[in-house]
Amino acid sequence: MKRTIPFTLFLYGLLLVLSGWYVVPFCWALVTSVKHPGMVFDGRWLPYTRAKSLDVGGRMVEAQVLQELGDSLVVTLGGMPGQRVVPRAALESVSPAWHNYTDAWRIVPFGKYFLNSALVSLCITLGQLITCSLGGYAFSRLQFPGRDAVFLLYLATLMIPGPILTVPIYMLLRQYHLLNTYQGVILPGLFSAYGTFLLKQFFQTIPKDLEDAARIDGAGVVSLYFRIILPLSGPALAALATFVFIGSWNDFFWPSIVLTDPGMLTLPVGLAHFNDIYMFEYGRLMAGCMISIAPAVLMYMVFQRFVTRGVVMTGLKG
Amino acid sequence: MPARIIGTLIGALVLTAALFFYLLGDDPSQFVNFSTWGTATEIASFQRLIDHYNATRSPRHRVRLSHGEQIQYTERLIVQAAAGNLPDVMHLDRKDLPLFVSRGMCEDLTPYMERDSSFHITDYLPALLPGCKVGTQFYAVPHNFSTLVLYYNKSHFDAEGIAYPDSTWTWDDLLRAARRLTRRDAQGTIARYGCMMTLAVQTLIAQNDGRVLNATLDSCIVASPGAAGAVQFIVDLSEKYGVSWSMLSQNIQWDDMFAGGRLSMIANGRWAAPWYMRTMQPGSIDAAPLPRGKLRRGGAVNHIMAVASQSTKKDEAWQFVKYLVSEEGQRMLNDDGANIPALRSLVYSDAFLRHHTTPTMNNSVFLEELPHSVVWPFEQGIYVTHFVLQTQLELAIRRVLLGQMTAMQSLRIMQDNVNGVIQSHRTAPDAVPFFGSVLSYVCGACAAGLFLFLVRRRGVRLPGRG
Repeated sequence: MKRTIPFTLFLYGLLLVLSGWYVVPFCWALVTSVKHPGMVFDGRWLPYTRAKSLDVGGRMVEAQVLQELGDSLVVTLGGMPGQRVVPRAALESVSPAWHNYTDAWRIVPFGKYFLNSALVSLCITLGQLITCSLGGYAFSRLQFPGRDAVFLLYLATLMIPGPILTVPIYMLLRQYHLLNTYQGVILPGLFSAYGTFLLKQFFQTIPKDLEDAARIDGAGVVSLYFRIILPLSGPALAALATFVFIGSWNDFFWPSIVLTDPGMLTLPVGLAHFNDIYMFEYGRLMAGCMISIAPAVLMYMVFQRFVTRGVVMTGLKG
Repeated sequence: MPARIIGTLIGALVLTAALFFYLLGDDPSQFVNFSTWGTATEIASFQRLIDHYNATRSPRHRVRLSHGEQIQYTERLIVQAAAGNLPDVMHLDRKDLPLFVSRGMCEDLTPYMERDSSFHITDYLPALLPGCKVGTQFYAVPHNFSTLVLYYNKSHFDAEGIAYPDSTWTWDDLLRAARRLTRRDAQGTIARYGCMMTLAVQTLIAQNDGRVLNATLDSCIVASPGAAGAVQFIVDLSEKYGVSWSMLSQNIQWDDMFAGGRLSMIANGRWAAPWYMRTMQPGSIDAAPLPRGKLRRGGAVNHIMAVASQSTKKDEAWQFVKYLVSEEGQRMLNDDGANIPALRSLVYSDAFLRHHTTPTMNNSVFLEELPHSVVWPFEQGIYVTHFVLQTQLELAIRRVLLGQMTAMQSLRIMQDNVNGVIQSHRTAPDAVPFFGSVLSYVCGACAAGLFLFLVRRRGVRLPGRG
């Protein structure tokens, strides 16, 4: 069907509005990360700062803002009677609070948390690439009794909500003394029905003729996996790696359950340290969020086409 | 298969195994494990204290810090108890103590106190001691606390010519001041709010002679005229008088609004004081008692230290608890000024009254409020958590804000809901998880055996090979 110009404009407009739904909160977080305390909810997008004193006839006088009136401020000046109305520009200026980033870095040991997150995410990503590709290979290429039934059972585990498994996995880890260890975070993440399904679907698209040719040359099951299947599955492996890396990098729940040593926390769990239940330091918190999501955003930007392809291949979102 | 691939595979396996064992944690049983929550600053303070303690004690007394995220802290300890994995020393909120004791999670510390001549429970503020007891026995030692007070912007009061709040203030006084302090711009939009009292709802209920739970904490009795009056007053502040903003907005921006001069009075705890002092104009902020109601009541959060009954190092744990609540320990942990130490000798000295984070603030008001305070946010008992109570109270207020029903009708719904939760917890048997049980292993072994049997019988074959 040929699209008309108005329809195309409408479509683009709709997509623009929908993308704004996601982009605006991110922009708010970005701007808030450089806002000064007390000015976070001033209703403006730019990061303003307010001076504590005002130049009155060449003398700096302490100024206390009593009320905001559009472009003006009602102030009292130290040692002077009454109230005055001064333009906002006299006291306020745009000045990003970059110190939120340095404060965030100083308060929370981001370097350590970065390394912890990187270790956990890389191990889970590599592990899933190995286990899922082996599983996908077996389910797509090998013939053995009950293969499809086992695959369906494995796939059915996707229907089990994660929180239900929390206590049993926790108890298992305790039995094996894996609580408060990196292994305790990594091991449950090494196996994924979703990843196995994704790779199985991809492996099925590889022509069998290639395998037959290799088999004539004497290749066995393992050799076929290493020499034929894996080299031809780069895009699928990259898509899975991106999904898994972003997922494990952002994972909060499981690390927060397993890890208790403050020196072993991952970034999302460490970020929670900014918060008190009844006190939020928004500027620093958002600065910390920006620091923590940077690797995941970078990963997504680099491997964006693989992520898109992964979604297209499976019809599932990571 | 070429030797190169096999070599690579074996190498990768060896490296993985080496990494696995290298990363394996220390045996937790060789430490006294101490569990707490808190912000990064608080955790750093605890870590400094522990480092100092470890450096001056023998290896068997070595302590390891275990951190839990604050919102799920109670639930986490309950899960750990179910798994037999409780830390030796637990930093608790007093509201959780009855629940933990009823589950057998806490060691009775009374015998330890009686035989340890270097420890005197009378050194601590008397108002904090009931929070450490269940029945007649001590299951914890007081560590620190915080009381709710009324913070106010002195410049706003000066500009309007209003006298500062004091201990004689009633809620009517607060309302009168808030109406004068609220300012609107030319379009009629509120440019400065008079007050924000969200955190004081529970206290207001208590001041109105209302209760959320009964004295034995096993029944919700919130649908009373006193509680309904308190809820109606909080709703009226925004909906009728326009001096506060609606609780429907569900935001937690009030601290920033107060610091930015867009709010004149706010009810908050000690934890906010250092941040306000740091952020606002020096000398422009002070604290006063919460206004009086029918009864004089305040709200207090008490933090206590307990020893786990599951601990295998109880004596060592007790020694560490003593250090945590000692003068040296309390000085180290209260350096940030966000809490108030429980030790009398410390709290009535300049170490707190002239605390370096709040030197110009009336710090004594936090102490004056303590004897009249009830547990904040809720005294929860053993059948219902404070999150259930908090959620139900917020929903009750929302129904009134939306004009769906009167305060009394809304609180009746809350009462029924909470009593439903209590009833379900009283009658429900403890769940036994399947995964990890012996039965799960038997089922797993049967399934694996069946699978192997089928594989051996039919054999694995490649497609096209027959």
